[in-house]
Amino acid sequence: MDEDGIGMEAFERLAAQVGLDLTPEELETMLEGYRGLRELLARLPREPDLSDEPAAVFLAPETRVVL
Amino acid sequence: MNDLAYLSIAEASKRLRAGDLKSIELVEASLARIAETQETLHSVLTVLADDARAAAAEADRMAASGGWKGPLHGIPIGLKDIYATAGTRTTCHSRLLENNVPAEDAESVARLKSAGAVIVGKLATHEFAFGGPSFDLPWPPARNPWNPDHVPGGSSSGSGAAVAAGLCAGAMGSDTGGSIRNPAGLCGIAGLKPTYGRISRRGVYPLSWTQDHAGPMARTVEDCAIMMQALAGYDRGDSGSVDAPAPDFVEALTESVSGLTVGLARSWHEGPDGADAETGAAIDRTAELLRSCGMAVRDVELPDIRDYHACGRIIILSEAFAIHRAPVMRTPEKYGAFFRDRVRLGAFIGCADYIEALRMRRRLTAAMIAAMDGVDVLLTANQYGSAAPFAESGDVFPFFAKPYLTMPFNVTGQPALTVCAGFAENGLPIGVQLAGRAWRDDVLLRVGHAFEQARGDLGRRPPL
Repeated sequence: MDEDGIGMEAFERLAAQVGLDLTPEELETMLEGYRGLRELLARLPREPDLSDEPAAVFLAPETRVVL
Repeated sequence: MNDLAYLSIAEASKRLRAGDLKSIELVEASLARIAETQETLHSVLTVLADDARAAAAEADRMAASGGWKGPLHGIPIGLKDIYATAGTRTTCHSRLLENNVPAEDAESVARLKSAGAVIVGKLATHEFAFGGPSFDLPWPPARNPWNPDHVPGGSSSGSGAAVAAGLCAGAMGSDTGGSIRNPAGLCGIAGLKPTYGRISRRGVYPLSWTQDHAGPMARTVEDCAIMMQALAGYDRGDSGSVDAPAPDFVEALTESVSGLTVGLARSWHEGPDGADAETGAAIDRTAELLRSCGMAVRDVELPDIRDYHACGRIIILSEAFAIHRAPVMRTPEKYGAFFRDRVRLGAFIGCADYIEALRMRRRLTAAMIAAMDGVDVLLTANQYGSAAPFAESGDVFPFFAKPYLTMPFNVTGQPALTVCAGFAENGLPIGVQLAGRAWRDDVLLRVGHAFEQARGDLGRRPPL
């Protein structure tokens, strides 16, 4: 376990779970990338409002129809 | 070097129309530039000499008998090698498609040809518009004509280098997180990422269906407008295409910019992790020039760029992995290392996170619209500095270092234009970014054109 909460052993299992067959060198590289990815994912809202409309329904406020 | 190679599309078109110049002369100048720079720049993957000469001869025959297809008639144009070309290999700069020969032209290529453009070559790109600059592919990476030891930017690397070095008058690029604007800025030319849905992407190899944009790159904004005139329009073959009327982009350049308001977004490029001093100074000079054109310039506070960056990057990684999942799992060794490692990150993004990123994008778009209240165009940095040396461009995951300044407008879909604002002390160009309201590509081009007129000719060409 490292300061980012995931060590090489755990990451190796995770990579296998998602179907990636990585060499030891690739595991090192991908773990570095995974840590960067987790920082991006942390910026996603974790508790979306259930009243939000489904994704992929895009309606800019300027064009919203008021009934 | 033949000066014809550096004629703008607008100037070349006037001379062709007047009968003072022939398309074949332009094409020969273009082919000569390709030949004399190829060993250094590596910006062209496939030279279409015979096809281009035949098309130029036909354009000249037509012009001699009074025929005229418009301002692109007989003009040499290059294509990023992710644009499908009928009967000509389209490789995506990848071993996987080394011998791929499409049966049809991409819609945008067909439109350019219908408008009279002569295609002179297929241009280098980062592998599948994502993995580069790479040295483990069948072709070397393109280099920056202002200093070949430096990168030209990407992923439309060959397009930026070729246009800047006079190998063609204009080129097509594609932009998913900044891939038109980044090389445009680093190579000292103009590049437009139009409003999402404005130009068809049918036949352009996808990286991210919901963030890919096709767009023009040229040495002037006016030339981008001329290309837009041919390119814009609805295509039912592209699910992202929108049936919206296209304005006259060239005519729009003649309208006044007086009274328009420019919002200067300092928070994105200022601060300890921000752009370098020369870039900051270039933005200040740009703001002054825009004021001198009669525009009001005021500071605006935009939403946190890190949210746009995270949202856009998660969407790109998810969609790119979906596109490449089967071959990258089955035969990863066929890809270059940069592309392979970057795209495989998408395997770690869950479906709920992808969908949440799509929902976040809608909120971020609304936030940008609100932040632009009373503002016609935004002015921001395009990069944090001028082009880096190749020796410093070996990061597998460069997108985790700092937020891409171009990414927000891929997330929102609004148009964004890069123009050259000057040069750094090391002789490399510095670009700045202008962004308009959705569907007002015409206003954005007008502001960019006014800026270039006020800036004047920078009087420099790459030393190649």
